[in-house]
Formats: sequence, structure tokens, C-alpha cells
Amino acid sequence: MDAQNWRRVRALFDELADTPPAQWHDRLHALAPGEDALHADVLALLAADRGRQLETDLAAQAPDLLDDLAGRPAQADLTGRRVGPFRLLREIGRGGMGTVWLAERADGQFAQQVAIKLIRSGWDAADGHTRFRAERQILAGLTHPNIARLIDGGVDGEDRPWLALEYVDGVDLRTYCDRAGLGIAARLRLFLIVCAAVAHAHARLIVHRDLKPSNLLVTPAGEVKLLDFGIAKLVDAGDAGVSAARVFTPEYAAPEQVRGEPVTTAVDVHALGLLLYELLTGRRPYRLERSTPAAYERAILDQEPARPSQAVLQADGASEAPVSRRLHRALRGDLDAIVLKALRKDPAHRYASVAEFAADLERYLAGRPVTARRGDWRYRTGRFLRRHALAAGLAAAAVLALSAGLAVALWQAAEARAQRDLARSESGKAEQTIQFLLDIFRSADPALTRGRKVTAEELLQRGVERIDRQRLDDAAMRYGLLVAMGEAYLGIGDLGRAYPLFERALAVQREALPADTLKRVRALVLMGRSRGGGDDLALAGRHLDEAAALLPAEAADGELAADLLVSRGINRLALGDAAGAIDDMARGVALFGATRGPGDSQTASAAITLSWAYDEQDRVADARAVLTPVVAALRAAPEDNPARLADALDALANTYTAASEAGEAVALRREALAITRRLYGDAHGYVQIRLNNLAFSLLRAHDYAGANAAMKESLAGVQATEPPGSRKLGATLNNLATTEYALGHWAEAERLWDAALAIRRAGGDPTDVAFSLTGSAGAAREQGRLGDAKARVDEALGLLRAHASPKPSHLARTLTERAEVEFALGPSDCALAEEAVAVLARAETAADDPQRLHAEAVAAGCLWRRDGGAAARDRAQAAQAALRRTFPADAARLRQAARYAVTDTR
Amino acid sequence: MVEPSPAITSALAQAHDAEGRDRLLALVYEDMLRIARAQLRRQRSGHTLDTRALVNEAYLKLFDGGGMDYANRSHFFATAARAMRQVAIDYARARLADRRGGGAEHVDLDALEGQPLPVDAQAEQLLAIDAALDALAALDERLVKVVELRFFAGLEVKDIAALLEVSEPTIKRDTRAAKAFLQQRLGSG
Repeated sequence: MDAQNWRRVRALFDELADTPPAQWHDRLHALAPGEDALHADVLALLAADRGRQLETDLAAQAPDLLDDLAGRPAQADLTGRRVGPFRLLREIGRGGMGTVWLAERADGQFAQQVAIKLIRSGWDAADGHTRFRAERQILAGLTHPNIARLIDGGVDGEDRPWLALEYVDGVDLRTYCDRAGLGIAARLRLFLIVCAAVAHAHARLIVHRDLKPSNLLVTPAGEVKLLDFGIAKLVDAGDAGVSAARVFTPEYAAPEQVRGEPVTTAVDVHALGLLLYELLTGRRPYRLERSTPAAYERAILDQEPARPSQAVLQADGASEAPVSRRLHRALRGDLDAIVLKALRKDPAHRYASVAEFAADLERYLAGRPVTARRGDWRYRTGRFLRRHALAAGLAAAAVLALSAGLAVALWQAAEARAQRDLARSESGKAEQTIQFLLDIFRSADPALTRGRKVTAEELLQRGVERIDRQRLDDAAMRYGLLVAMGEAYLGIGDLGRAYPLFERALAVQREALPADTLKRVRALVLMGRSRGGGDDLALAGRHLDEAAALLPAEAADGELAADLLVSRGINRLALGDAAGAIDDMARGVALFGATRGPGDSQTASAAITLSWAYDEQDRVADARAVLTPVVAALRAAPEDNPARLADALDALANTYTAASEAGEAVALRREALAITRRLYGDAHGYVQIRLNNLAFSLLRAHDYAGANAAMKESLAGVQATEPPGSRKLGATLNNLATTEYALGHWAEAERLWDAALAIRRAGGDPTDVAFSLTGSAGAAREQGRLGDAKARVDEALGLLRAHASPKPSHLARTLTERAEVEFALGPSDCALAEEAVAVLARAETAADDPQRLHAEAVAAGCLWRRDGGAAARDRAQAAQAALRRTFPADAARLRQAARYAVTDTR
Repeated sequence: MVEPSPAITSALAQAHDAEGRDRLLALVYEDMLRIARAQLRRQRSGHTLDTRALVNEAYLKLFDGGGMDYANRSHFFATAARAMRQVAIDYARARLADRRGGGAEHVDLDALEGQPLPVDAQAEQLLAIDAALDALAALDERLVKVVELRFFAGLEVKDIAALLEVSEPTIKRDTRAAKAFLQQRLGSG
């Protein structure tokens, strides 16, 4: 194009710039007939005009670059300049805080090289300097062989603060370890030196706040040196106007730093956790699409780090490499637990101090049990349940199904085992045993209890007393009875009473039957299953590991081995080691299947638990593969174990997660429901749970009326059986509201959500409150009450933003609702709608997920209204088309989304 | 610290030929850098440099005391805007060169393992804008001037209209066409 052409193009562009795109072609042909080349140029310009726009000024287009530019001292000015008693030699680094120079002593007193930090910007001369001096004083007192010393500091002629630090010539810790080819233990020992230095500073109330690899150097002499201790605080101290401490490296920041909350020693614990993670795995704990500071910050707030043992398998081809398999095994368990404990989002859940962190690593190195794996059953269960609880609108109660199912499964397994044991006693002893039991039951004779009915617990209690009272000479029988009684307690869930009985059985075996290894293994397995009489998962794990080590080779394929593996798998699942759990349980299920057949109660119960572990890893295909033969066998003899069949069917339905499989899931849920009704009657709690799960699948299958009917029946049952404020009632109300909303019954949905809120606000999980609030906001919005809607969704968003790791689909749902309210109120910058889409994309939500489709429609419609242009138009039209493909023609959701469709009067 | 600079006043007086303009630019450039740094040091960290305030400040410092005639005023702003462009582009270039290993001794404390930072992305985009502006200069000098005043110096439409002695709608149309041109170049590049 030459200048003359440009003038023509420009004139036509000006003429057409405000004309709707549809008319461009015709107008061009009218204004400049036959000049096709010219038309192309004009059209390209017009299209660019409608597309994404540059900012109008540089400050908006390149803010960071300008900031950076303004803070960069002119290098030529400074070389050779004197700062305090030092002369600057050359720049050796630069960063957010300013520049770092190698300098030497210029006053001729003695030769000394130092690193000088020239701190940039953000300084208020009067106030800042006082606090700068105070902080400097504190740091000057920090002397430790592994901490680079602060030598001097001051303010130069241009009001620029400077610091002189011990100059360290070395490589960063990770590079050092890699170059030296250090193994895990050697890396840990170096890391412990770092911990000791940090702990030394913490004891003097100095927090580093910016620990990262480039601050941890190893000198050629092999000495570890920590740089920049307390410098971040010192720099902030001078910055009077900025309240929260913002001097940190996003990549190595703790969640509370990102949120601008007060900084404590817990920040360093977190940073050390990140460093250890990198040292052990060679990678970062978070997977990011882009390596921007903002992406790091979001990951730090939202993502759960991958387990180190998993992380080493994630690189391409790593899972086959023997090195990474070996590393995987070495990290699995204790080191996974230790690192993740240091990385908890909530500072209160991390190690309370660096010293404790280090102590746990010492324990690991010494082969002793680590504390990271102790007592976190509740934490793990909480996470496990929450993950499932938040899986979708209806899933809160679905989890009730899972946990109730687990209890039932364990109870039935224990019961079956107790009976089997009795039946297997050798005939001579069997008589004695039967006599013993008859005695116990006789004591429950109404004639002796004066008509009062005796409970199972009382019977057990008497049995235990009788074992103590009677002198049972036969050690094997004594062992058998202790085990039977213990299992009975295990069956009713009283772990505290079961455990000591198994301990006594173990003692009997050790004293009287030392050669009977199988009895020893059996007692240990049972001790493991009763979790040390409570929630001591680590103790349970040790019992189970000991049992596994003792198991004789000839018993490796037997039922005891199967029981051992399944028990240890369940324990590992509770410990959060899903991979290890799957390993064990898969072998256990295979053994049970081989010895007892796929339709056996034990096999089925183990297979169901295994399927949950697979679900936890999003391995639904594996979950389905393990359940399918079980379901087939149980169906072949449906009357043998109908309760287990119903559990297996419901578990199998969980594996049909794709939208296209919703019909299959519904059929399975119906089958499970019918069996449960027949077994327990319509009013039983299990029936309400099955109904709830059925409604969940019906919603996914877009049968809203069916889902609504199921939820109504579920609610009626729950209201009849649960106390008014129960969590389950709150969840059920919430879920019924979801179905009413899907039907377009706004007022009814709002009423139900408000009722759910009344319950959930009283001590519920804030994410549950946020879910119901968001629903209620949507219902209010649909009824035209935008003020109410805005207040509710703002509260919901506040709750989720304050949450350490909100479920992506929940956050996206609330963001979308907030965007919809904004859209209804008037012009919008569409930022929230776009964030919702981004959140779902990052969570790898299925492309045909209803929530994702709706979020996309809202975002696309908003952008179209904001910007117009061909691209926005295409996107909005594609979003609408996707909705129409997915939802039935009469769905309320389609009517709702229509307001985000393209109209030609934007 | 910055006195009304006799050097600049005299450079302005001689700025009718190309050599004179270059000298003026060099002087303004130095000032821009100095003022930018001083301004940012005064601001709290986290604030973004305001380029218009920067140009205005340079103007006040250079010409405090009045006596500027219109031709010089107009000339100054055009030069300041060009200087702002050059400062930003030079810096963007230096930054990218650093990252690519030009400054091998520099351990960039901000670097996230060599991944592009937003600031580097901004630098690259700025260089693309600069190249597109050079292409535009061959077609329409005046549009480039408008972009420089608006984008790099941050002047308002009415100020630019007054400086260039055209109407405000003309400046608005110019801005729109120039942005479309740049956007198209960036998109196709």
C-alpha cells in the first residue's frame, strides 16, 4: 500500500466505521465499484476496528514495563559510585526490590567484598528511615554460620536505602544437589541445615518471608548460606503507606501472603515445604497453563498440590522409567505426608514451627513413624467427603450414601467373619465355644433379667467378662473368643472396645502359641482395622505393615492375605494415599474374587471401596471394570445379598459421569432404589439417600420433573426422620430447590433455598451456605428482584473468595450468577463471566457440562454486548448452539440463556 | 533539581532542521528518564507511572517562567512524545535482550525460570507497535504524531487538537483509524 492508496482506504474506513458489518460489502461496492483490492484493505481495517482494541495509552498497555523502567537506575551512573564505605563494582542481579551490586570496601581499612542491595521506590523519607534503622538493628544481631550476615546499611545521597550483605559466591541448593547427584537422604540432610538456620532466626522473631532457591546458596566449600534474611520485612518497613507486606515472589508465596494477611513464621514453613518439594521431585507442586505471577497466585490459593510421589511420575515417559518408579516408591507415604503437611493452605494445619518440620524429617531419616501421618484422619476424611460433597448440586447427600454404605459394608463383613470363625472352630473346641456363647445368651433369658430385654452391647460386655472370669485352659479357644468378641465390637463400630481385645488375643498368641504365625497376622490385621482403638491411622498402618511382613508365603494367596490387603488399602485411602490404597485393594479384591467368587459379600464390599478410591483419582473406567463382574454375579443371585447388590449398583452408577451416560446411571439408581425399598421399607434413611442420588442422575439426564419428584419424596422422608436443624435436612432442601430451579419454578426454589440457608447458616460449611445463597440469588433475579439477588450473590462470592480452596464448579457457578446479575443491571466489563469460564476450563470440566455451557453463554453474550465484532458474535452464537444441542427444547435453562443470544441491536 | 535548561531552550530555537531535532530529542530523552525515576520514587509502589504527568512535569521544569511561544510549545510536546516512545522502546528492547542472554552476568531475580513474564510480553508487544508505527509513518506522518501524543505522551484529545490545530472529531477519527491499522498489523504479524 502506498500513501495514495492509504488515503482512499482511510476515507472509505471513515465512511463505513459506524455502519453495521452486514452492510459493509454492499456499501463498498456502491462507493468504490470494481476496486476489489481496495475493498480487502478496507474490510481488514474495519474488522480490526471491531476486534480487540489496544489501550489508548501506554500506561494501560504496558504498566509493568513502565514501572520497571522508572525503577531502573541508569547503570552507567552507578559503577564506581561510593555507597557508604563501599564502592560499587558491577551489577550482579536485579529484582522487584532493586538491584544488587558487587562492591568492595573503599575506605582502605581492609579488603572486603560485599553484596550491596540498592532498594528501589516506595520510600517515605521521614518515617521510613526510622523504621528501616530499627529493622536493620535487629538483623545486624542475627549471626549464624549458615545465614549471610548483614554488614551495614544506610541511605545514599539520593534518598535511596542500601544494604551491605556478606557476599556469597555459590550455586543454588537445587542445582548443587543435582550436580552432585545426591540421593534423598543427602538432600534431606542439607535441607535440615537450612531448617536449623531458619529456626535460629525464628527464635529471634525474624521471619525470612521470601525463601526461594535463589536465596539458598551452597559455596564451593559445600557450605549452605541463606541470603536476604528479613530483608523483605525491612524493605516493607520503609514503605509506610502500603499496609500489607507485598514484597515476595509469587511463585514461592504462601496463601496468606497472596491474600495480604499478616505474615508469621508459618510463611517460612510453607516456603520450606515448596523448596523440599522441588528438591525431592525436581518440579513444582502446581500445574499451570501459564507461568505468570497471577497464575501462581491463583494456584497457591486454589490448587491442591500433587503428591510428590505422583509428581515424579507425571513427566513424559517418567512413569515407565525405573528411576522415577524407584523415586515414586521412596517418596510415597511418609515424605508425601511431610511435604504436604508443610504446604497446607491453612497455616494452622501446617507444622507449628520449622523445628517440628525438621523433627519429622529426622524421624523419617531414623526410620521412626512421622507425625505428619498421625491424627489427620479427620482432615483427610473431611477433604474426601468435601470433595464428593461438593461434586455437584445434589451430591452433599450422595456422600451420606457413601459413608453410610461404608459403615454397612464393614459391619456386614465383620458379621460374616464372626460367623465363619465360629463355624470353623475344630469340632471339640466348637462345642466348648458354643457352650460359652449359650451361657452368655442364657444370661439374657427374660426370666433371669426380670423381663427386661438385653441389648447386643450388654451381651458382648458379659461375654468379655466371662472370658476374664472363666479359666480357659485352651489358648486357641481363648484366642478365638477374644477375636470373635473384638470383631463383634468392630461390627457395631466400637473401635475403642475392640482394640484391647485384639491386643489380648495377640498376647495369648505370643505366649502360648508362638509358632502360629497365622494367628499373629490375624490379630495384627484386626488391630489395624480397629485403628488403635480410635483414629490412629499411623499406628494402624504399622500393624498392617507388620502383618504383611509376617505373612507366610503359603498364605499369600489366601483369604487372610486378601483381608489384610483390603484393610491396609482402606487405611491408606484414609491416609490420603490413594495410589497405595488402590494397589492394595486391587490385589485384595482379586484374591477375594479368586477364592470366594465375584458375588461374595466380602469381594463385593472390597470392590465397592476400591471403586471409591478409583473415583478419588478420577479413574472411572477402572472403577467400572472392578464393579462390573461384581454386579453381574450379584444380579445372577439377587436374593443372596440384595443389600450389597444395591450398594454395588449405586457405586456403579457413580462411574457413569459423562453427560452422555446419564441414562445408564439413572437405570442403575432406579434398580438400587427398588431393592432398597423392598429391604428397608419406604421410610428408611437409605431410601432417602437412594432417591437423592437418583435425582442427581435424573438432573444430569435432563429429566427435571423426575428429579423433582424424587427429591420431594426424599424430603418427605427426611422431614419425618431427621431433627429440624439437621445437616441432612439442609442438604435435601437445597437439592430439592435445585430441581425446582431447573423447572423454572423460581418462587418455590427461592423459598426452599432460604429454608436450607436457615439451617446451613447455623454452623454449616461456608461453601454450603454460598451454594444455597447463589441459588437463592438466581431465583430472586429471575423474579426481577435484582437488589436482593446482588446482595445474596455478593455474600456468596465473599464466602468463596475467603475459602482456601473452593471447588471450581462452585466458584464458577457463583461467578456466573454474579455476572448475570451485573448483566441485568446494565453495562458490564464481563470480567466475572470470563473468570467463571476460565475457572471451569482450568478444572478441565467436560465441554458438555451444563454449568460450563451456561457460563460460556453468559460470558459470550456479555462480550458481544460490550464489544460487538465478528469474533464475539461467532462465540455467542456457538455458545447458544451448544446449549440447544445439550438441553431439551423446553428447558428453563434455554429460556434463561436466550437473553445472552446475539441480537442485531446491540 | 532540574533547572529550566538553557541547553534545551537553545536546542528548541535551532530545532528547525533534522540535526537540531535530534539534539533536542536527546536532551528531552535524558530528562524524561530522570523525571520518570524521580516521579516513581515519590509514588507508592504499585502505582503506575502516569506518562502525561511525566510529560507535563518535564514541560514545567524546562519552561517554568513562561515565555514559550506557541510554535515551541507544540514542538516540545511532539518531541517529548517521541522521546517517551523512544525511552519505552529502548527499554523494552534492552529488557528482552537481557532475557535472551545478552546480559549473561545478570541473575534476574524476578525471572520465573526463563518463562515470559507479563512484563516481557508487554515489551514484545510494544516493539510490535513500534514497528507498525514505522510502517504507518510511510503512509501518514500525522497519524503517527497523533498516536505518539495520545499513546506515548498520554495527552487528551482536546490538547492534541489544539496542538495540531485541528478539530477534536478529527483527532478522534485519526485515533480510531490509527488503532485499527496498528491492531491489524499486530494481528497479522
